[in-house]
Amino acid sequence: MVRISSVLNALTLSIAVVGYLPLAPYLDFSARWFFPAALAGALLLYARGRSLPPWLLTSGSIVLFLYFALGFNMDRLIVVTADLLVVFLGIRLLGERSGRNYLQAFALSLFCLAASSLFELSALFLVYLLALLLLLAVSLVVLTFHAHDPKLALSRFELKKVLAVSVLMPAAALPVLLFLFVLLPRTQYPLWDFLNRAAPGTTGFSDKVNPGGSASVSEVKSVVLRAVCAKLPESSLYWRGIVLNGFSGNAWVRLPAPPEVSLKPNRGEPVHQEIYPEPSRNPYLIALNVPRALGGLRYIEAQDAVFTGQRQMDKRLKYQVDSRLADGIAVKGGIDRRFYLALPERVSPRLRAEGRALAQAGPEVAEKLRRLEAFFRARRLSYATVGLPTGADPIDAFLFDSRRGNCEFFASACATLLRLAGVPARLVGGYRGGVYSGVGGYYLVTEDMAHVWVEAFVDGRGWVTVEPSAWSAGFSRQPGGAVRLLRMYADALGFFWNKAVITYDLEKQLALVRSAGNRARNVRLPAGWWQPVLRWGAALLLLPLGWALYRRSRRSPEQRLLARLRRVLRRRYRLEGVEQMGLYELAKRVDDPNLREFVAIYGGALYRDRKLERGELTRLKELVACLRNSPTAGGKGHLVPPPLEGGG
Amino acid sequence: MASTLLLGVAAVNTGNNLLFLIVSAMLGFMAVSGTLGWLNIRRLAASVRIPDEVYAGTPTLLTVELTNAKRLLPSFLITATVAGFPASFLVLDPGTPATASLMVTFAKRGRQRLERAVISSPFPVNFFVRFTVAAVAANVTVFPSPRRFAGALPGGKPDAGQAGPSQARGYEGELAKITDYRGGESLKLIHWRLSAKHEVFKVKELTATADEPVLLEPELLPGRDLDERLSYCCFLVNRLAKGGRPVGLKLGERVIEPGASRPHRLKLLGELAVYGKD
Repeated sequence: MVRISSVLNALTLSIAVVGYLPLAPYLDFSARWFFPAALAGALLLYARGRSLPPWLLTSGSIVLFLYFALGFNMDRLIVVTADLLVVFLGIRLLGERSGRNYLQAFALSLFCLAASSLFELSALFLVYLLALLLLLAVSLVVLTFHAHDPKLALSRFELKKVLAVSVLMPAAALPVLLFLFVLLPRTQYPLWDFLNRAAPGTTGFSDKVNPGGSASVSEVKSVVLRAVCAKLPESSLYWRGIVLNGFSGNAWVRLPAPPEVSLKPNRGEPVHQEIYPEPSRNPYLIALNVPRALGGLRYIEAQDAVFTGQRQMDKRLKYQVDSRLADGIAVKGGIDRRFYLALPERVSPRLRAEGRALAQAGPEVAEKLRRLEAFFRARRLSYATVGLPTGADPIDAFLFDSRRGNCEFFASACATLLRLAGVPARLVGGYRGGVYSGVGGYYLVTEDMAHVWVEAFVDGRGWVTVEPSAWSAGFSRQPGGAVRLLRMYADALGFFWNKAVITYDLEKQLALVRSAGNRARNVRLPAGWWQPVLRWGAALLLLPLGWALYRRSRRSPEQRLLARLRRVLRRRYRLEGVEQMGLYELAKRVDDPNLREFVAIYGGALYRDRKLERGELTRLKELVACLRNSPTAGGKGHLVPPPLEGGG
Repeated sequence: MASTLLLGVAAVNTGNNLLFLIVSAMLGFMAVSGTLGWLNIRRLAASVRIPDEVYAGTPTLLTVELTNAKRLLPSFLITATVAGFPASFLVLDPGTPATASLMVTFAKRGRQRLERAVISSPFPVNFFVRFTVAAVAANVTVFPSPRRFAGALPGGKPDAGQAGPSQARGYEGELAKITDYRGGESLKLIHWRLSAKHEVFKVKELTATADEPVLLEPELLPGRDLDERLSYCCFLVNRLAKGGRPVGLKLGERVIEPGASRPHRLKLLGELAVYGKD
């Protein structure tokens, strides 16, 4: 025998742990350790069958509340609330074990899990939620038995049955959960916004390129965005973010550019992407080079194909982009050449001399670019992210001394040399490459793929993409191994979670309703001679239904009841020819007190030629129900063999 | 329920889809537990077994039998209330009848009908108790409450084995005493040997082998009202019949011939139960 209270205690502790775990990383030190201590205390008390007195717990609660409330301010509102929830949960575990206290522990655990969603939106939440739902369902059922009799003990067999039925509940609740999740009403804007002050970290995407700022570039693998699109050649994966067109000191920055009319690219392969950026403070909407048009949110488009979002990007959102895999942006009319020929404060004599040599190559920009590539390649520059040149003139050091650098060095050197040679040039910041997830059908772009390249202005062609990093040795990406594959699967899971759950919104609900409505409206019968055939066919199908309804309305309640009785008898006693047998004959054949009573009441009315009274009718219905539900095995009724006819 | 509402408000307010997920889960859970509770008390057939002798005002043990006619699902924590008295069942397996006893006290004599059993259960979650009604359709004849009738009764309680020998004279019993002949005694009873030694005839007085039948007429018994007289009568019927004495009843013009068997006694009690009620 298993005591129901032991089962309930074990379940309650498990529920509390599932409530605490997702919240634990975000708690203050004291709350984080208070809970395990309380848990250990509760285990000890359970083992001894004791609990702490209420006065002690109440006073303890008040003291702890005051302690945590002292650290309260509007910025720490959620943290303090989470701390208090966990502390109260711990206290509840130590207290007297009554039905009400168990329920409080359950509710607090649920609130803890709910509070964790204000800190973290990962797919792990679903795991916790399902675990909690399962444990809660079982616990509530066990609690019902506990309420029936706290000292109840069930046999292992009975307990198994109880647990099996309780596990059935969350299993059956899952489809309802999904249905309700889609349907529950949502508002586009929060009613009070104070709970939503999450503070996502900056992505590190920079609107300033200053090579030589540090000797190494950290390769952070944090996700920048996921772009759902078809798989593309590796060489065309340039994600455009920002254009840096001028200098602030020696650093490339984005300055307000003089007006020019750039044309939408209409050459190159069109690619449609659905982009899910990770929350960040950077307003630039990143898209595959060259983006033509954006959709899904409000944005501002600059003339150099740079898009910025109008609302903050610190929430999960998505947008659609139409891009062309073009190698440049055509410009109508001219550009302000003077603006794009400006130079940084410091240009080393060696660099200046190289620029002059390039300028003498002739008026053709293409020729200058060829010369430039030849120069880069001749220098045997290597692509590196560590051991980068620093100091007073890092570009000079990069080209002539250390000859190693990352994309910032290559692009800065290239663009500066182009400008020295009289070719308008600018830097484009963004990302290069991406890992394609075959499972999710999207590109994963991480922070370590940040990249800078150059656009040079060629008369008649506009801004042409130049990739100086490709002129280096060692500029390629290594294919990933099994770990990478595994990581892609994990990422795909997280992506689907974000796509299906986190970014689910009102618009999606409305779109669902609209599309369902449209589909219903667009149901058209196929044209042709058989359209009338279909109509008439449907009408013919409806006819039997109408006939059945008509017959039903024609029959009196008595007749319906009798038909029901015959049906029940036929099913229960496997009697043949029930329709032909009279009522009294039936009663004789089936020796059942319920049937006898039925016959007595029914016959009493029928043979006196009066209708059944309301009470009688109810009673007869009850009797039929009894007949239907009463078990045949060991039950009251049994078949009496019919008398032998003819004798012998 | 309250926490669902609270989380629902929080979900709408923050637009946090994870909160929506929790709220959906809780609402889904409520819906499923409601359905399970409904299924739990569905398709339960009830019947009641009543003992032969049920006396008004005396607690009687009834047996309630519940059968779970569902195919797969067991029923849990069922309370079947019959005539206002509850009997509880912990687990009802599908297809297997289970019984429970309950003490019932009927207040009044007469034929009574137990129409239905109220089936209730807090399962699966102790927030609501669901009810349904199952037809029982059992008839019970409640006998008058027996009331001890002191006097005019020989011997002790027959039930306690204290029944003394019958005081009435008979012809075939044991020798009780020798008396003088008073005329009218059968010649067979004259004790010839003793008579020879005395001046008067001596006769053997034998005890009776069977008591003389008694015909009770409730209307003639003492008592403030009919019910009290019937209570005395009920007591007498039991006491006499259990003592082996044939008892009959005279109810108005109707006479029920004396008898001493148990079925006869129950018949008499049944008559007393409904006497004056038709």
